[in-house]
Amino acid sequence: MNKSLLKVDNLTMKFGGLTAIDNLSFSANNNEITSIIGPNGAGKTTVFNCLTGFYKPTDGEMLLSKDNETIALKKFTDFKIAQKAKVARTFQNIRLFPAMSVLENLLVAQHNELMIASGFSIFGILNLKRYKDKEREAVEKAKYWLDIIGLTNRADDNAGDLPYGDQRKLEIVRAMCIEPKLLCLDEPAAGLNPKESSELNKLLEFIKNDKKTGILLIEHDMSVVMGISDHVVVLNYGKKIFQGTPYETRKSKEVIEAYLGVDE
Amino acid sequence: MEYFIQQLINGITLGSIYGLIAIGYTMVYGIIGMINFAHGDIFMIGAFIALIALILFGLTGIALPIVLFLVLLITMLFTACYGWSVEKLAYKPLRGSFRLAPLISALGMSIVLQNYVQVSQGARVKPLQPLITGGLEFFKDSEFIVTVSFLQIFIVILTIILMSMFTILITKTDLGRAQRACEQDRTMTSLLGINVDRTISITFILGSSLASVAGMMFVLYYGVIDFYIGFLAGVKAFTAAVLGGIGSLPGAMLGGLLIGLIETMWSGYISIEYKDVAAFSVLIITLIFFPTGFLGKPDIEKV
Repeated sequence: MNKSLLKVDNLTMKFGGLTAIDNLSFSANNNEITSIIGPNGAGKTTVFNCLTGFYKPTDGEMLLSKDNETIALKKFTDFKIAQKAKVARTFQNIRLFPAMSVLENLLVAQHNELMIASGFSIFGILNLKRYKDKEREAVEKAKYWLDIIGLTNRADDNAGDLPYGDQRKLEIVRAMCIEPKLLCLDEPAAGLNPKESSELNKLLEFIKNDKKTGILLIEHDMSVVMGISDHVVVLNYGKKIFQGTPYETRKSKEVIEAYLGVDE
Repeated sequence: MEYFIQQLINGITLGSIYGLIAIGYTMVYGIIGMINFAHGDIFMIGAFIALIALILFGLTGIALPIVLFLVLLITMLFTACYGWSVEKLAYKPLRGSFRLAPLISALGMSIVLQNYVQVSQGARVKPLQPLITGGLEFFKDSEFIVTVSFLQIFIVILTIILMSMFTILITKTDLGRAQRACEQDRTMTSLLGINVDRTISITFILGSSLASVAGMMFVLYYGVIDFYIGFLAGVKAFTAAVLGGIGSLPGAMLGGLLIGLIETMWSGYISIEYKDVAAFSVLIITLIFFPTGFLGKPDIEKV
């Protein structure tokens, strides 16, 4: 199987006179975690916004290998990013559906399959067998993920009532319910305590090893980045200043200068 | 006592009609946060389509229950097309614009629809002979005989069926789930692969078909319609939705029932001329004590 998953080529994003991303090239592989780090305002989230169709890049290509073909992510916008290109993302702040139950949050992510099976819900109202089977499958899948994050006993509680750390994990498994090829996580460890953050590491390692998914991670928590990344891409002012393994990154002079400044 | 029961029955019938329209207001508000002022006129269009269909099928001489069923389907179908087109033409291009833009567009659409019907159908009132006649009589020994007409039974039962189907649709099926997801976070919903635009369109289709059933009931119940009925019925149903708590589905049903009851009780005991004043006064008083309506959730902004 082809290992390469995402290839970002000369990506440039300009807002008027401001160049948020400047000729950025990097690649990410299947079953690996690629971290994007950099000081505030380096353009990390902008990269995600380009990948998930929020922004139309000024220039450059973003190529995703999917089932032996290569697709250009630029051509996908809106719901097609998740439905067709199979790219999922989370945000810096929690974006669960707080007034829905934990289980329902995971079922929403499987909407497209259910919608077809239920004949646009007509069979759903009539409660036909065909729909019931499909729904049972969807619930099974949701339960599988709830088991992994240990929230099975809270399946019927509202998602908004969960503790913060659990909400973070639920958000990640909800994204996994659309069976993404590429999972983009924007600061998943923000606001987590050390225990929760080590649980998050375990979850991400599980996804990386057991699912056919590549993970792209924006993170400021260096214990997460250094602990689980396979590759690190360092951005500063929209430019890539370094790329390498976590160990190499820690030693790199450019990275230290970007974070701490240069000695005069 | 008998008189009270009679008013109660009349009120429930009227409340059913308001409730069905109110669902459309509350759903659209829930999903895109906008008051669809053209919704009352969609109800009016539904009434006209029902009238035309009733006359057409009435000429063929098919048995009445079948006629009613066919008219119901046709009315829902055609009115749903109107609701869908209104959304596509007037609201969808303005999505992402500032909040007041679709509201103004809705007011405009309301005027367009009224004038369209006035021009195409004429401005005079359109009568319809009573189709469903007869009823059940109770308390025959007392001075006041309580009559429950078959038409009233038909209206209430049909409303109960539609509302239960609708509740199942929203709470149990995947479409309802997608709708509730859109209500809470449209961006995230679309990032989970759900076609948000289509979900919004379906919301309009559902709301319009329920309003069209209310329109059909209105024709059968009152027997006269004109191009202007949508305004008052729309405002009343909107009041009902606000009273119950806008955005809440059971709230819309409850609100519809309350407005219907207030109106008939006021007309029955106090003065028929001031029934609209009564309905709106109750709204104002309620909102002072329950700013989010009876079943609405308070919108707490986190700081």
